[in-house]
Amino acid sequence: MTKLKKSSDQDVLRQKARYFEVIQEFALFQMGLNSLEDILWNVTETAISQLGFVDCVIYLLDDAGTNLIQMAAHGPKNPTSREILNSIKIPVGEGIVGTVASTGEIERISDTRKDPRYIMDDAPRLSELAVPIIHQKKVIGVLDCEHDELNFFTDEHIQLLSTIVSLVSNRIDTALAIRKFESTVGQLQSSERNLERKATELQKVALELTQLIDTANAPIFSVDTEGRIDEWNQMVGNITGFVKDEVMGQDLVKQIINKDQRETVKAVLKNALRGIQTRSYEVPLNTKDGRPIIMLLNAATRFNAEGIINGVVGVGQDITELTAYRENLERMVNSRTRDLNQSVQDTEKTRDRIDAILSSVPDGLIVTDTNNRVILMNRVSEELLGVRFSDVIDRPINFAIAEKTLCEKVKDTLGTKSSGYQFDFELPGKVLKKLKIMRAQTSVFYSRDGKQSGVVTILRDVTLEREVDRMKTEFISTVAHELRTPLTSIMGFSEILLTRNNFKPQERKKFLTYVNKQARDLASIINDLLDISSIESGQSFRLNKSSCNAGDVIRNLIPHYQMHHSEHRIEVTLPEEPVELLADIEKLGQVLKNLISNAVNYSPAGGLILVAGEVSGDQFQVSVEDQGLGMTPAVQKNIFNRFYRGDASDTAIHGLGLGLTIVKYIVEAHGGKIWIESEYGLGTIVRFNIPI
Amino acid sequence: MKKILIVDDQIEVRELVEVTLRVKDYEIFQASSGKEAIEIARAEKPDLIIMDIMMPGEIDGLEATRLLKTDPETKDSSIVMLTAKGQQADKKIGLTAGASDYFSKPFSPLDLINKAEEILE
Repeated sequence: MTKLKKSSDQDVLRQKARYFEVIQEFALFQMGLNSLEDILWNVTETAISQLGFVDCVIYLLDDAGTNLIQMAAHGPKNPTSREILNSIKIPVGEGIVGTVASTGEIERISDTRKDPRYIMDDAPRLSELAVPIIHQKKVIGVLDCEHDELNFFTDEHIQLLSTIVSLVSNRIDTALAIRKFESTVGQLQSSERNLERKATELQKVALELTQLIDTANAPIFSVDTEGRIDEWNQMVGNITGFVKDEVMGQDLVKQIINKDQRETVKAVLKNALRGIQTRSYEVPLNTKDGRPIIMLLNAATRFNAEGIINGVVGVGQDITELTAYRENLERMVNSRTRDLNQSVQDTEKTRDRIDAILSSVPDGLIVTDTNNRVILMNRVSEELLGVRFSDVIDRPINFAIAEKTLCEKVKDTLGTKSSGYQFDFELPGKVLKKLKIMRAQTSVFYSRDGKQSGVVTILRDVTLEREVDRMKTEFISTVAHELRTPLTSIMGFSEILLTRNNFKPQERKKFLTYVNKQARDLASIINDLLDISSIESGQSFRLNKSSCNAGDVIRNLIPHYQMHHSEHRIEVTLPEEPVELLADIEKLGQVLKNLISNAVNYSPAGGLILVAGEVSGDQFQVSVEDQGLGMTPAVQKNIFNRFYRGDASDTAIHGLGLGLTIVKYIVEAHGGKIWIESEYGLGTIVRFNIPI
Repeated sequence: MKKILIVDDQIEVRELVEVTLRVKDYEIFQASSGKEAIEIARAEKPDLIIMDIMMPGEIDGLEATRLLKTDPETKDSSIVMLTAKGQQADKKIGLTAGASDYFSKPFSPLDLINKAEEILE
């Protein structure tokens, strides 16, 4: 036992000596070290190489004191390089190392498997010794050692490590402080460099800006809050003739502004200094050689870096030329405007004239474009078709024209090379829905370049013309009939008288009387035709006036009718006193014959016919009254028209339809008037008067 | 003796036709209107009626012809139209109404005699 003890004591002594040597050597070596890395590295290296530990790591508390950062490590767990790539970070209070950092007490774990605080990694060790690194009573880090054997760390180990730690704690703190200082210095140096760089950049920018301002193709200048010039670029110099050196520090207003404009400019500057900017301000300046110029100016408020107003910047352009140009332009615009106004007026005048012409055209006019849309209608066409132009403008033609034939023809006209179509169609009239006969003429119109532009359709109411045509045709037929009737007798009787001789003288005379009467009828018809022909051609009647007694003219005619129309009773009423007239006796007789014939022809046998003459004021009035068919208002309206016959269907009553036309003409040629009073079915009175 | 009825509103024409036909031994009747013509035709049953178209009154020559031709009592009388209307259309209307022939005024007496003889034989 003793021997053992002895030997053990000897071993302890030997070991103590060895530890002493280690510490001595460590302390000596440490003396030569300065950097934190070297100091820490030396500790861990010593622990591994001199004391035979498997792993040794030094953690230092971070600045905040919340985490332990691995700073140096030795052992298989750690790379041999001094560089720690992935520094382990342990929060204070966690694991064995964390506990040591928070308590400041040494921890010796004889069997790590039994200590739940031990943080298992890929190479767990069985025993562990963690010693706090304390400087001035504050934990600044932990020295952590591990070994593969159970219960490896001895009291001697604790003592030795405590000594080492106490030896280096001061140095570590110092090294840390130096390191912190160096870091701060480094940061300061870096900031300084940044500042220098920035200053250089700013200087460059400022230079560039100055150059920019100086060489800008616009006059730029600025004044301080007192109105003194503190910037003046080359352009302002060129324009005003003042170079920068001459004006810097000078009062802008006093130096270069016209006297009469100074107050205005001062007001602009004053406003700008209050933050109210003026744009496009035309300021008259005096150049150095006294030439007045106008500068278009924007006065902008100038701020310093703190946002305080420190002056006014004027940016402008010389608009002397511009003004001249503008004035010239204005003159041109004015002149052009006058021309345009004139031409607009002319156009309006022309349009009005065309409108007036179009609306006065007696024919309906419709203009359609190439899409068959209505682009123009005059008033007559509006009336004829019963539509308003404003209602159908730009609408397809079938909106304006209900008549299908016309629509189709208008459409067909486009594309045709012919001049268009001419055709008649019927339209319901306004009065009594009587059909109106319309003649339409379509034609293409062309633009200047020869393209088809549309269709012009002209509508003409030809109802009256057609009626006249119809009456003319009927007239010719009537004339033929009227001529044939007497001719039949003349030809027939004369032929018989010529071919047969077995007639008694009495019979012979009767036949010759027939021939003579019919020949006179023919002559009368021919006279009527000649009369109407002269009326038609506009030649006035040649009245062969002579003084006569009006009563006699009538009286002389009556017996003839009384004799030939014995089936009618003819009564005559005349003034007892003779009435003297200046008249064409023959024509007056013609008038009376016509009226009496009509009365006889249009009244039944046994009818009474009253012929009366009386003085009425300065007129001699004659009336012929019958109890015949009478006339409808429509017949009365037309009765004096040529070729018109009261009852055209009843052609049995002879006559050309010219009688009353001629009568009216004769009466009017005498300065008189003729009119009709009639009721259909009751009879007719024809009255005329002739001035005495 | 054959009977002939002459219808015309003008006395001169009736006289002329009658004188023209005097060459043969006909019994001649005269009527101055359509109405009168129908009355005489019913009473006398003429073999030939020479009918003017245009006559005043309610019944003109065409209407009289139509009535006579549709009346069993008178339909056997031949009718010759005689009128100043000479157009084709008028002729057709006359024939449609039942007339056998058509004469335009002015007519040739000789033609009329021949036509009358032709119809009456």
